[in-house]
Amino acid sequence: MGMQIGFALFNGLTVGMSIFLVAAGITLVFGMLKILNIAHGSFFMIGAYVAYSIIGSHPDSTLQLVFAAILSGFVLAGLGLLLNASVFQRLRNIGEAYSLIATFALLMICNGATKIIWGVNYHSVSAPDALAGAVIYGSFFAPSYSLFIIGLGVLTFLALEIVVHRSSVGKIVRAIAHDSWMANLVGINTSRIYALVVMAAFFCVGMAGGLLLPNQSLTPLLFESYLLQSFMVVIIGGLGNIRGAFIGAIMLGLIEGANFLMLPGIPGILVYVILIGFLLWRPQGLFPQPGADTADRVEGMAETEGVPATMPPKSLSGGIVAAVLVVGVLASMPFWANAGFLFIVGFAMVEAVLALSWNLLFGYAGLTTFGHAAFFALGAYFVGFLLRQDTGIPFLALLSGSLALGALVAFIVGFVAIRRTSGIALGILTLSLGEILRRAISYSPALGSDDGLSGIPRPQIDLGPVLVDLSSERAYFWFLLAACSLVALALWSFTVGPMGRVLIALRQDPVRAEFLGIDVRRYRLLAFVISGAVAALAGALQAPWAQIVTPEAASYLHSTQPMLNTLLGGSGFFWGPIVGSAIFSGISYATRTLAGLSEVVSGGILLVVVLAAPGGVLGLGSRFSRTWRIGALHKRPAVDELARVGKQAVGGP
Amino acid sequence: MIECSNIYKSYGAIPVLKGISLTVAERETFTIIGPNGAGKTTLFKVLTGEVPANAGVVTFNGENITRLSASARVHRGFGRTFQVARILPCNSVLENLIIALEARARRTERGSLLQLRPSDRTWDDAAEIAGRISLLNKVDIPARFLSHGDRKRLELGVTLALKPKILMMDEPTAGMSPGDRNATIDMIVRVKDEDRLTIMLTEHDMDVVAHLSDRIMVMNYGEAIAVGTLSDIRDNAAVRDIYLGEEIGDA
Amino acid sequence: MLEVSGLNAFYGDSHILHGVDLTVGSSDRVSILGRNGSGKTTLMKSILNAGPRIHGGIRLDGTDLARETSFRRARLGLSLVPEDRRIFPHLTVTDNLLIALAAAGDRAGLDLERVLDTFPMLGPLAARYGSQLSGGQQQMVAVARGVMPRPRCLLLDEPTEGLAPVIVRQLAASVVRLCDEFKIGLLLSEQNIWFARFCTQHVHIIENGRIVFSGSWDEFESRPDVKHRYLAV
Ligand SMILES: Nc1ncnc2c1ncn2[C@@H]1O[C@H](COP(=O)(O)OP(=O)(O)OP(=O)(O)O)[C@@H](O)[C@H]1O
Ligand SMILES: Nc1ncnc2c1ncn2[C@@H]1O[C@H](COP(=O)(O)OP(=O)(O)OP(=O)(O)O)[C@@H](O)[C@H]1O
Ligand SMILES: [Mg+2]
Ligand SMILES: [Mg+2]
Repeated sequence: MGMQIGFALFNGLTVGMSIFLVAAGITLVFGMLKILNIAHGSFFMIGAYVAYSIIGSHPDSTLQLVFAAILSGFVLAGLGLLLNASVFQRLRNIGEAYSLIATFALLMICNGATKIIWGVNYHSVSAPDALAGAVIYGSFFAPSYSLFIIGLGVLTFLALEIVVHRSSVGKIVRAIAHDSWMANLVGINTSRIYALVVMAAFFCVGMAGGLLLPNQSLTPLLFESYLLQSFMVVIIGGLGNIRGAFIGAIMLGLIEGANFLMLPGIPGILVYVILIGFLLWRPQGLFPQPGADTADRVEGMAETEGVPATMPPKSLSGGIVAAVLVVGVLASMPFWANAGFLFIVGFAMVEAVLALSWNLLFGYAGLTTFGHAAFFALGAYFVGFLLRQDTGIPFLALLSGSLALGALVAFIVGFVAIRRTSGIALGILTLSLGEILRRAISYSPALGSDDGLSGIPRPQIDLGPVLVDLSSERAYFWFLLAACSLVALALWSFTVGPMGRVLIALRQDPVRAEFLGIDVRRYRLLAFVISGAVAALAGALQAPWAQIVTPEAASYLHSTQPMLNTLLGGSGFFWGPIVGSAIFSGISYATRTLAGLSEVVSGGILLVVVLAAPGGVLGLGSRFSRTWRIGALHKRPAVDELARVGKQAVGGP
Repeated sequence: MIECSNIYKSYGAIPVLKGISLTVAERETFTIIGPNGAGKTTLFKVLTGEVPANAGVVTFNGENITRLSASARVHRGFGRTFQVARILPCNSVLENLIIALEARARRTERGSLLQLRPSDRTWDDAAEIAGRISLLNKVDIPARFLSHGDRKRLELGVTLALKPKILMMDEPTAGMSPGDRNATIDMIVRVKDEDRLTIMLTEHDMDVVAHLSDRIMVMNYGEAIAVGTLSDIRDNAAVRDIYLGEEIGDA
Repeated sequence: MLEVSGLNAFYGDSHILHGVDLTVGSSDRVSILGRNGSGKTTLMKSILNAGPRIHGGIRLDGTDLARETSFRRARLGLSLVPEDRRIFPHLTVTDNLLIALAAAGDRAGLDLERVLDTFPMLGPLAARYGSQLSGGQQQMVAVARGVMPRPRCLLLDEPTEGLAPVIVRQLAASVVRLCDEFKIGLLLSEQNIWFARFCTQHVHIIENGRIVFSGSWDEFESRPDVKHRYLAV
């Protein structure tokens, strides 16, 4: 037994070091420059493939492996330089959230490109002979390759530690990260530093790809293997802190080891549970930035991105016409659209509702959650499970039940989480909850495990005198349309009413809001509850449409969907998420036949849209009208004139 | 009206307030002055509930409010402006005022859930306040485009919209041009009269201090070293030494 | 040394500065006065290419700066102390000062000890982080950071805001002393007329983005109408 524990610990250590090697780059970029790079895992994967192309399946010597890793580091650094000039540089003036969508586009492009260049087959690489054996010490034996990884991890750590924490470089980067405007004015070439940091990060990740090659099978799914762990490590360590990341990585590795010993049935779940505990205990990480206690908001630093409208427009007629038009076209679809397309449109409507609910948190309450799909899955499984049981519960009651369930869970989660965390810690916390749910479902036979629940029947609605049968595709589509429109309308009136104004206030400046007498925590919780309820409802509506729900509904990839839709359409607009969902679905429908290319194409389109329209598609539209409006303001008539015009002058959207 | 006794506060190992006690009477204007870093802003933060004190008691109209949150204190009649004006940058001047008015109305009256637009009364009130703070000509400019002085005025307007009983202002005229400063002094005197306010403020401009204050407290290194009327303070040698220096001409 | 000619500045479509002309000779000290919103800050930011869109000429020692980025301008010897201070919160006071040496380039910057001596308030705060300072303390750090690289021309945007009266007078003396000793030109935007007069020889008044008065302080004194009309004193 002792032997076994020792071995698990050692294994954990190796895993931890591997995580650290991958996460080192993310710590630099994400922690220091606040670019939320989701594509990191994909760059790791490309690094691995590049190294594989250099050495093939059987590296002759350790030296060759190291050489290939370094070479691949340089290749990736070059790629980083390229991307910095073409993408990251533009993202800098846009705001953190939008970097998310751009890097997601990069993720799609990278993954697609990988499939095209290297194919989808498995490859495996053996460790060079010198590392294939093991070092034996008494009754304990350690694989040489593991020792090699541990050694390299420590080496990388020391190198970065010196550069980041012991030299002036770290201070300069910290200054830039917090206030690049001022950093420029004290004579720092911020663009160059940015480029160097990005290159360093890409070098690290490329090298990690090469070094870890012998550890895993090489497939286009490799990008996922360290992605979440890397983010966790950054958060555990404290943003941008190499030492923290190092300790965090070891912790993660050891927890994985413990999980293996204690809960072999559900691999990987312990990490999330412990992570949640950690975040609640120490949301700022092991080593918070020095001076960060009061500096999360610099006094007087204005937010530059737009916020959604806080008032209903003066005249509703334009909006009503547009809404009737859209709903009308959608309603006519079953008559002319083919079944596949109709199916996609139905999905898009549900995703739009999910995205609306996410933006209630993000765009209105200023809370970023990365695990919204969990609520969706909750609703979907609730309804799917009960419909299959044929319990005779009326469908509308099921929908209300899912709303209540979503609200209840959101209340419990929000009550604890909002009290303790905010910002990125909240994001990772919700992400972890989502992953726990996904894993819990996929190991529950009652819920169909990995295969999910299939063959969910479409219900009937008993309205007393009339019985509405929704079993046909067409009928359920109309029902879906009606339900989604109603939800959207309800949310809209919520956001342009007094509650919306409260949320907008606390998003922009929680301290000011508190001193307006707004109980910030309570209203955040309210937004959280409403958002969770609506997300669960979206799931509940979708289950009978798709007639199948799988654990993927709760996965982090599904959680990114509402974020992408929202940001693509424009988070500063109530209708942004809907526009985004439409465009996104359109792109994926149009490119669905392009097999390997499809990811590259849709990623590329996404990227172009984001770079051309920061602030979302709707933001692009309003930019023109806004410049016009502000221009007009300065040509304003005299004061007394305005006073006379009084309140008519100041209504409007 | 507001009273605190033996307030201690430290940030980590740095002691900032060392046993401050004070009493402010109803409808009094009480000014706190002191060198930079004396702890004035920190004292404000403790009194308004933005940060908790390590020790000491704050009472407001006889009620112990030491443990109340900032928003709960606002409900009891606190209004607060900041050293660097805090306004909602993306909303227009008028929207800033409306949000404040609604925040207050929500506590005092039941509105209809279906009424999405602010009521006519709210619009009128907002326009009226905009007039009082002379921002009527800028009502639909997003607040982030306002110049420094205008921001401070807007913040005062937003605070007045809450109809506070006590107004706590941290350097209300910092960064204002002399003309605006005089206008602000007049405005504060006027609203104090109209709204029957008690006022606490910190200020570095002795002109403003002289015009507004009934009583003055001088702080240094987290301790109160003198309390009294303007002439008491002017005659106090220690205060001259650490804060005033010789009087500055016409500044 | 610093010559601004026909400067127009815009935020979006709104035209803020209208043909501003201004010179600051080497070791000359010049103030700009004006109401809130008249364009002082915009002028300072324009000179460093740090915000508004600009048309017009800006030269430093005869070099045209039109194509230079902000950090290049900083390295060429322009140093801005912004009105909102912009202290780096995650760095200590010492590091806040040292980081400004990036702008010193091949000129030698000032000695840290020297600067800490000149601003006695900062000595005991040297190890604090930027986020742990009071408003006035931040202001002092900002000014000290501005002189660190020993600029050719220092641009101070309302440095006395939030400073105690005693400190204002210390600061005035320190600024004059540093500028004299290190031959630093000064462009000062102020609301505190006493401070402006103490520190500078020339005064410009700006109103709605136009210079409406330029002259020496004596000339300024002899024009109470100007004082009254543009500064309301
Ligand atoms: N978050 C913090 N952490 C540590 N020390 C702090 C923090 N905030 C303020 N201080 C210190 O507490 C002391 C009092 O600060 P405070 O802001 O109350 O001063 P003040 O009297 O308002 O000064 P000023 O007139 O410059 O605004 C200062 O010495 C400051 O350095
Ligand atoms: N980012 C911006 N976008 C649009 N307009 C702006 C912006 N910043 C400033 N302005 C406008 O430009 C004008 C000049 O502002 P500026 O900040 O230069 O004034 P100032 O003279 O420095 O005033 P203060 O004494 O209050 O600091 C003001 O009318 C202001 O509303
Ligand atoms: Mg203060
Ligand atoms: Mg200014």
